[in-house]
Amino acid sequence: MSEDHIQRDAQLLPAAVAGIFEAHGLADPRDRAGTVRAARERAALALPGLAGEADAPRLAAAPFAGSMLVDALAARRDASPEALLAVTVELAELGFAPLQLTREALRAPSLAALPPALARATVLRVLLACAPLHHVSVWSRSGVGGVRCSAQAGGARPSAAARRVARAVLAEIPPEPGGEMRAFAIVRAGEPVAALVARAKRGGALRAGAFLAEAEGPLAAIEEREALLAGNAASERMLLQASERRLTRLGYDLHDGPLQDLLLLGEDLALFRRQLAVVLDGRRGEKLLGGRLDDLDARLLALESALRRISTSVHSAVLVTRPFGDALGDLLDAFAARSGIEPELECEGDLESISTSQRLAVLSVVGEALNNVREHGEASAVGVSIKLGRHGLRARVRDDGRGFDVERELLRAARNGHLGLAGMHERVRLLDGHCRVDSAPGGPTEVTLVLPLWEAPAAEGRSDVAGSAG
Amino acid sequence: MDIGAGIHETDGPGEGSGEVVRLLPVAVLVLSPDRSFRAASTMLLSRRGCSVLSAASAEEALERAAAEPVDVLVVELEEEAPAGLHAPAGLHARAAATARLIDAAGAGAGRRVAAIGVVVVGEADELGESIEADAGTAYPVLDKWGPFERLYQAVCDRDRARRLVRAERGDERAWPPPAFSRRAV
Repeated sequence: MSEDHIQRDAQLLPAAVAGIFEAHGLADPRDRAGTVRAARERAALALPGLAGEADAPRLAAAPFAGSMLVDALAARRDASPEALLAVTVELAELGFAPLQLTREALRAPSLAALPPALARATVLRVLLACAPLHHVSVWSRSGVGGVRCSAQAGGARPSAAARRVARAVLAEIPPEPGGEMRAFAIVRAGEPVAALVARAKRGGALRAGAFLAEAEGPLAAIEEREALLAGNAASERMLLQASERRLTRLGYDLHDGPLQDLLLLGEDLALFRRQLAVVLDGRRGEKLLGGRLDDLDARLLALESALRRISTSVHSAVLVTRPFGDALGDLLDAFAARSGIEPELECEGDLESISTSQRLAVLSVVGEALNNVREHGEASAVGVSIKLGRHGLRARVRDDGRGFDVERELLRAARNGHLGLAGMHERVRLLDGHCRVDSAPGGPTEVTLVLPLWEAPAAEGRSDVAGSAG
Repeated sequence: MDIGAGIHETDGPGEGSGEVVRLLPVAVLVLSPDRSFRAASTMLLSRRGCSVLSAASAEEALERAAAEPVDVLVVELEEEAPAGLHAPAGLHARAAATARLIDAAGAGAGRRVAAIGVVVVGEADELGESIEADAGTAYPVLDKWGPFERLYQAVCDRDRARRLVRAERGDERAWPPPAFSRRAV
């Protein structure tokens, strides 16, 4: 083949490859000009290195065909197996052998840029499109000593036979000879971390093995990347938990330290006001000093409100990010540590399923009710009950303390700027629920919260198998 | 008995005039710039079986009144009385103006409603002589931090008075009230 012919073929092949993908709806024709130009430039750069090779133009264009295949599979997850088969057949007619195409696709830089789950699924779909396989799957160890399918292509669901083979591979038990099932271990740091299992089409076991062997390296890299990302995520979780613990402590420290000191200061100021009134009784300057004391009182009140807001917001920020059960457990533990009363807890239903706003409302109301019990109730027993049923959530905090006149105490607290349960009632109303306080001097006291059931809008296009590519 | 009609009129024993039995909760709109008062009064009125809305400003109150029916307005007016008017007169005038706007909002939303009852509240030291000056004046004026029982009683009285006015006038256009649905608490 003359140099001119080689150059001409190398320039023509990218457009032909792009045309095949476009014809089967696996590439956007609007991208053609830029994509083909870049492919031609890369082919021109590769050609000098392929001098003397019999099929230099195809070798130069093969990386482009491989990356087109990866891009198509990653972007068009709904592409039909028939379209994929047609593409590989037509590419083979152009001279791109399936094994070569697979090799190039698995080396494509765009594969390394995909998230691990999508990259894994794409590798399996490349294998299914190019190799004589019925189905192919990747398995990893599950936390309970078994194996779980992390991606699959072909077939409706992972088969029991594939699971058995995967278990054997991960246990480093030599596979039984014969049959159409092929399997490889994906090794990381000398340890099998995943198993690549495939069922070959009749008579294609040997050939299928060659394709699967090509996938071993890329899959190992994907497993490595996923492990690193998981390690990062675990570190982030630990940091987050540590900062949550610090925030929680800060919230309690604010509530129990400076806020209580401020209350005592307010009482001292009131005492001082009374003592001053006796000393000054009608003397000059009494009014002026009274005014100064009013100012100090107002500033103390503002400071106390600000600190209380900060304390509450610190708790709220933490509560949003934690599982409901943990947050509730901490709330009850903190109450028990401070009051010496071990609350009796009764829960029903999947409380982790409630919305974030509901979770905040429930925890705030329960927390506020427990605070009231601790500060004013003189109770010896406290019961907390949270039930999630078909119609909504009902939470109840009941104590056997001395009780109080609800209307008088709520108005008194509100007048002093302490919204307490009235503030919670406001929040709960925004969620279409209601909060009720029942008490009387002598007790008992019961705080009830009722919230309607909230359901998230149904998600579309959910897949049953993580990373399923089938 | 039509629950949806909300109110049922019966003949009182030994009297020709009707006693009105309420089947739906009294709908109260609390209009106050003071969040603490709004939160506390909303919770306490709800506890007593009222259906309560709250608003921090007149604009918000109008929005609420346009969306849901209101029987009684509990209003705290923060502005100073207009110059040249005695405090009680100014207070009542402003309360009446607010109530008219809220009535108009209800009418604008297509509801045939009787004029709403009004209870004025405020800080005791700011209200001065107008406080508790119900007798002979249009609206009761109460200390907002006073006993809640008084506020609740005033709300019930204004609701009853409002309905009796309509009954005595025999205004068939608005009596019985339209069968609107209202969420019970």
